Amino acid sequence: MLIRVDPALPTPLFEQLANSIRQQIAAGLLPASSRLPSARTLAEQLSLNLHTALRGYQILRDEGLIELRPGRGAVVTKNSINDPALAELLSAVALRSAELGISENLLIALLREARSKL
Amino acid sequence: MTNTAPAPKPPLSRRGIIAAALTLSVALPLAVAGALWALTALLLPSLPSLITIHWGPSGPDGFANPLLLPVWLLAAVLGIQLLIAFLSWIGQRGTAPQTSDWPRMLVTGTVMFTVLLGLGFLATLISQLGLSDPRLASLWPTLLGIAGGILLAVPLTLLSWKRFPSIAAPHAAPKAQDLPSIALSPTEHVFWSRTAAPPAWLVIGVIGLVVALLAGLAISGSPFWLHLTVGVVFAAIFGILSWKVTINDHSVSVRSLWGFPKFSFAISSLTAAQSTAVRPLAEFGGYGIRTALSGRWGVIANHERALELFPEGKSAFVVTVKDSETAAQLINGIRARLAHHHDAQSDTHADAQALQSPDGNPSDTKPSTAQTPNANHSNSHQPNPAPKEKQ
Repeated sequence: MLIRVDPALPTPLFEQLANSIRQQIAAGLLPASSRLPSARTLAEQLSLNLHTALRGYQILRDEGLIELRPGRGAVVTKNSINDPALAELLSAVALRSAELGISENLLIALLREARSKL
Repeated sequence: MTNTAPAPKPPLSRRGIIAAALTLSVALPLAVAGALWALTALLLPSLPSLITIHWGPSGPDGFANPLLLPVWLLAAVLGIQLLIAFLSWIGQRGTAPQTSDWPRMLVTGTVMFTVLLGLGFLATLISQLGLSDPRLASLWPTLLGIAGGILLAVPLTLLSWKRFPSIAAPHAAPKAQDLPSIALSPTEHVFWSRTAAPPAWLVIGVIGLVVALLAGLAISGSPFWLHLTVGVVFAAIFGILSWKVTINDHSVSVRSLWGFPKFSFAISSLTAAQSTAVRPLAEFGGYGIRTALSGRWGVIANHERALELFPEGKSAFVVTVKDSETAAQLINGIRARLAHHHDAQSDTHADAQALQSPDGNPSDTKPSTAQTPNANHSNSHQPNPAPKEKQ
């Protein structure tokens, strides 16, 4: 598991932390039931405030990606990101949006828009 | 800047080393056996016609012509030499770069066993001078000779291992700039962590062994402290089956499940890192904390590719861990950043903008090739450029 946070970026550190871990869960690098380091370890290793690390983990917990157990650290939950139908649709979306020259940010906005209409 | 002077090469060529090893391995046992034979021949009138060469529980029970001792010495040393040749051949099968150091092994093994057997036989011979009946021979002088042989053989063995030149391709650190690395911004903090877990069969095997041992102890009605000892020993073994590898901005650390032992490396002390293939059995002879004849050492937990670290001026360290590619790229990136930072600080013309962080998502872990320290970054559009302290 690789986590990168940069205090010089405008994105808040806790969000960078959550993004970093979310990205790796999405990429399949952290399968369900993987143990993540404790928030304390993360804070120490990344020179972060403990609250920043905890807040990063809380975002992921609220998204249902990890479970926080006192004393046991964080564990990646069972999720359905490996759904083959979803993967197929996603690669189609990625391909088409690239063909159309749609930026990643715009694509995300489009996706949000589509989700809000559900 | 990162140019380190290569270590002075030994004057002997590869062929020279092999020739020296073969000569020594033939000449030393022959010389010792010859001397032993000459001595025996000289002492023959005052020796019994057969001397005791084996002691059973009830005293001497094996006898031989004393002139045979040097022949046995030669045969035993030859056997050891063949064993070393065989093991080197097994360890060397299928490897492209020459990693086996067989000439050095051969010389060391020859020295060890020639000294050991030579002194043992000498003591056996001398102690039976003037005996009319070999059945009166005492075992103690022989044991003493063997003990003396061990005392002499250990330093001689170590000395020959240390002094005899190596033919193993010097496990040279690759050039850091040739290796892939993750480009890092100067302000970025990184953390990588993974467990180097043992293969399932190893865990099952160890558990099976513990259960069998404890069951055996229980059946034989052994005292409790024996159970406890077995438990403690296996807990210790279990702890070093599984290892945690972590990398942060400054260091790489590899520690066992129990936190001890722990190996740490400051990234500034490394010349490079790479992902490499290791063969646990053929190269390292098993699992755990291991040293290979090639000179590299480290933690062998499983059959994954290994993260290989090159500490400046020291032997390479390996640890078998999944995704060692990312780990190596990250370390090279941190190294490049440290070097870059160092250059920028020592260079009075350094431009603060050259150190500006590249824009982009920090969670984008795509590797890129190493940045050359002096590459000029174009002015990026960071709203919040990294402050750089000027000296």
